[in-house]
Order: sequence, then C-alpha cells, then structure tokens
Amino acid sequence: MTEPSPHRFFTPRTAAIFRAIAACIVPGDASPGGHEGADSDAAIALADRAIAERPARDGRLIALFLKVVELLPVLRYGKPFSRLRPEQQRSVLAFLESNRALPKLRQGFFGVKTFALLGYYGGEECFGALHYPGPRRDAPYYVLRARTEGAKQ
Amino acid sequence: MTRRLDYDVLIIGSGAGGGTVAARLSKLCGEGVRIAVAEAGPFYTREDFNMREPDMLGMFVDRGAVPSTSFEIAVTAAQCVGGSTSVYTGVTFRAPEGLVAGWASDFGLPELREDDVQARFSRIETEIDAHVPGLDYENENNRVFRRGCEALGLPVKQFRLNIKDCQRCGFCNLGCPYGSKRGTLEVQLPEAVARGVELIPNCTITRVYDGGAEATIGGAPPGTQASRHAPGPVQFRAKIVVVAAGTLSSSALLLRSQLANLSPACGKYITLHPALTSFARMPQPVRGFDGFPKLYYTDAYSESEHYYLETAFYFPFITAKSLPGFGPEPTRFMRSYDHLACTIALVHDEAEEHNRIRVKDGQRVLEYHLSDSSRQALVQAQRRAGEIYFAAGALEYVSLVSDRFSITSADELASAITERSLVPGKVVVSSAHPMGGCRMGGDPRSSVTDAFGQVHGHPSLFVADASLFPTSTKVNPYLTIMAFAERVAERVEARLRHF
Repeated sequence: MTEPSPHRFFTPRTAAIFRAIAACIVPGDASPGGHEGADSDAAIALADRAIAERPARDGRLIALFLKVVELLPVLRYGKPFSRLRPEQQRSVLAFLESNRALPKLRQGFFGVKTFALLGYYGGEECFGALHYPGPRRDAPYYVLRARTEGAKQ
Repeated sequence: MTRRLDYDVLIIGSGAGGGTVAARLSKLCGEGVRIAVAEAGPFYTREDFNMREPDMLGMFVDRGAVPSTSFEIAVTAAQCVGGSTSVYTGVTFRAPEGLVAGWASDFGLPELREDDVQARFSRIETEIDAHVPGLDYENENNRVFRRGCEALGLPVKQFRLNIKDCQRCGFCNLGCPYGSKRGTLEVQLPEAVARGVELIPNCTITRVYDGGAEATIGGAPPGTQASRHAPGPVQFRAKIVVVAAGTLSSSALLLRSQLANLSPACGKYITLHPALTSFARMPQPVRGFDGFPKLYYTDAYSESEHYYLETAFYFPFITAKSLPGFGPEPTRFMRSYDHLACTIALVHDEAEEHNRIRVKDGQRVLEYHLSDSSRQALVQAQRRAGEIYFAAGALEYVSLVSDRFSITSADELASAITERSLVPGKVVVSSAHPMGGCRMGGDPRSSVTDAFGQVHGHPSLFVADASLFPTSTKVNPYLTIMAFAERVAERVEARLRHF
C-alpha cells in the first residue's frame, strides 16, 4: 500500500521533479552549518500550497510543464531530468529559460521558478541567512494571538 | 437556491473607486437609502495582516499576478476589502495638470473640468491625511537613492504619503498592520459602514444588468472576516449598480454581461504603467525593511525618456523573483539582502486599442504588448538607475535586462543592459497601475461611459474606477480614481432622486 501524498497539488512523481528543479533554483549549502535550499521539505510544502491555491488552470499547466521537463532531456542525454547530474540539470533549465524559439517553455520555467522561490523565500527558515528579522512581533496580529495563547494557559 | 437581496445602490468593489462612492453616498442611508458594497476578495482587518508573503497573497487577484497572453507583463492587482489602497505604499500623486483638460478636449467631454478635479484633489488629500513626511522618515534605502541622484545633479522629489501615526515597519504592500495607511479600508469604508452601508466580502459578481446583478457569495478564507450572508448564489436587485472592480475586472464584467449596445471600445485601450525593479548591493547595511519604504522619486527623465524612477523595497520572495537567472549567483546576492538598495522604474505607456481585456469562455484574458517606446524606456531606465547607484557607491548592480547577472561599474551599463535581454517570458515586466478599458468619452462608438461614469445607453449602470481613464495618468492613480469616483457618486445621487 502506498503512503498518501502529503501534498495538495503535487503527486509523488511531480513532487520529485519539482524538488530536483528547486534544488537548481536555490541550491543548498552543503558545508557544515550551511543552509538548506529550495528543495527542503518546508519549501516544497509551501510551494505546493501556493500552487494549489492558484486557479486550477495554472496547476494544470505547471503539472504539464513538470512532465515535459522530466522527459525532454531524454532526447539529448538519454535520461530523464531527475536522473541527470546537477550540471546537466542546470544546463537544461538554462535552455528552458533562455531559448528564443519556444516561448511556452520560457513561460513554464518562469512559473516553476516563481513557485520554487516562493517556497524558499516565503518561509521563515531562510530569514537567518538573509539577515532579515521577518514580521514585527509587536504588530496587532501577533500581540492578539500572544494574548489569546496566554489566556489559554 | 438563489437568494434575493434588495438595495437601492449596489457598489461592486471596495477600493479607491468603490470605497469613495460608498462613503459619499452613505449620507443617504439616513434617508432610508439601502446601499451595499460587494467585494470579491476577502476582508482582512489590520489585525489580520501577519506580514508573511505566502499568507498575504490572498489579497491579490488569482493569489498573485495576472500575466498577459504574451507573457511580457504581469499585473498585480488587489482583490480584498480596500482594494489597491490596502496594498499600496500610500504614494499620493495628483494627475498632472492639464491631463484632465486634455481628456475633456480630446474625448468630447465638455462636462469635465480641470478646476473641478483639482479642487477635489485638495479636499480628498485632507480627508486621507496626505502630506509630505519629515526627513526623519529617510532610511538608508532612501538615502542611497537621494545621494546618488544628488551626485549626478538629478532632481530628487519627495512623495506625498497618506499615512498617519506610521510605525515605519515597511510592510505597506502586505497590508498595514497598524492601520496607519489611510486608504479606504481605514477611512472611507468605516465611515460608510458606520452610516449604514452594508459591506459584503467574498462576493463575486458574475453578471450585471439594468436593475441588478447575479453573484456568488463564498466562504471567508481562514484568517479573514466573514459577512452575515451564508455562502451561495445571490441575485441583487438595485436601482443603480456602480461597477468599481478595478481595470482587470470591470470591463471583463461588462463584456461577460452581454449588455445591449455596449460600446465596441469596452475592454480596449488598457494602459499598465509597466515597471521594472533593480537592485544594488551597497558596502554598508541598508536594511530596507526598517523604516518607510518609499520616500523619493526623480522625474528627471519623465519628458525625455518617459519614465519615473522611484525608491522601492520588497520582501524576500518578491526581491528574489525580481532577479535574473537562477542558481548560485542570485542565491549569493540574496544572502546580502540587508545590504540591498532597490528602485523601480515606472514607464508612461500610451493607450492603444489593441491592448485590451477580452472574455473567452467566460474567463478574463489580458492582451498587452509592450510598445517599442516602452521597451526602450524600460531599458534606459535600468541604465539610469545603475548610474544613480554607482554614484552612491554601489558594489554591484543587478537588473533583469542585462546580459550578465551582476554589473560592477557604471562603464558596463550601456553594453550590458540592452533591449535584446528583454525577452518575454524570461523577463516578465510588472504592473501595479492598470488603467482604462471603460474609457470616458462623448462618442459611444469609441468610449464606454460619459463624463460621470454612466455606461452609454444604460442610465442605471455606472463605472467608478481607473478603467474610466482614457489614457494613463502617468503617475500612481489612486487619488485621481477617488476624485472621479466622487463625481460618479454625485451623479448617482442625482439619479436616485428621479426614481
């Protein structure tokens, strides 16, 4: 029996492809104490939520594009995207982003890149690496919630 | 089962246009006039703004941006109570002097007078606390821009801002968590509701007609306020309907409604005020997230090169999205987020018939192509912004319209930043000031409404938002929207007296 997908939009297959692309968009830092990249579970979960909440048409296009990305490299490398070496993956993505002949591929890459960036930079896990303090905790939203939590305890 | 809701006036949209119409008409509630504001988006109060980018996407149409079919540009438009005034920075511009007089003469609108509109600007500015803030509002991001301009001998001007008791937290574009931004969420709508206007959030109007509208009320998303109405289909009956759903939605709604004798100009002549952001890494901490994000602009190139350069600040996701490429270079650049200075170029685009909103299979489609003039202006603006930053001591400069990720001296700007890099889909220009689509005019064949926003041939149907504008205001438009919405409200009041 397969485990249920933890995602609202991604299937296990599309999640794996997206994760491989996201690792190229914002690579993690493998050195000791280094930061995770856009392929972290938290970033993927945030991207998944954002895509799920967009109009259904956008989700269909993203899913289609992910499948195209996975299969396209077979023509050149004889392997799907997720089995390529990192430098080969970056080369494929650079082609998708910059080619002048196929605007739909540029658009698709722009969309996937946007959600990978949202997953990573929209989450608080990256704020330390950016030297960014994040939302101010003296704002009414946080003050009210702290008060509510305090009352519960 | 479809419920029926009866009002005298139904206002569709709660932004600069709809909120102003609601406030002006609310004095009639005391006479028994029933008024409702139907807002398609959710109702966030100041206590619901949590300053997190992924959560606050719920304030925007399609939870993000609406791309053109060409993918050259994507429009970020608010869809929430307060509309664009909930997500703007409070930058307050009057329409340039002479613009309204030009509309009057060029579009057959003798009832439109420049002095009438200018007088409204003064009054509204007082109402919403628009003023030039003190220089203690200048943070390092703004200081860098000012110093760069001064070093080059460029004029630096201060924005008027409609803020009060501002905490300078920098989160204006995600909703003001302190209620300091004096948009319709904090000024006009509370006044209207206090007098008896009913606000109905999450209410999507699907069709308007003479005497009413069809709609669907949705549930309130988590973290937002609900209305008293249960979700489901609704039929509004109203003597007068005012469409103020914003440029992306108003003309689409009229087109979708298949109104009799609707002008063939409906949806056409859209202008978007195309914009591109660029960034400089400074040797000193900039911390754009501390302090007020937008204080200065220069109009040095407005006449000669057709754009303004304004200071700007964005949160991590939007900043990252505005950088070219992917991988180690932008990731490295983002690690210096607290050292980044930011500016935005806003291009004056022309109203062209082929730039339009149409409806296909019931869905809105945005067709817009950057003109050669706009493309050249965007490219030139990126070079000029780079000059300003290098004059201020930048270590590197990053622009989307460049053949390399990073530019490290002013000498490289002309060769690195070229129109060839402005590839649709790779570089997606942004827009936050859509205008047009229901343009005013005297001739129903080439315009959608008269000078008071009444749809030609439909005495009980009005438009009251930026879609009225026959051409771009060339500046942030909300104050001009409010002034024209006042005119619409006055005409609606007069029309109500006839019923």
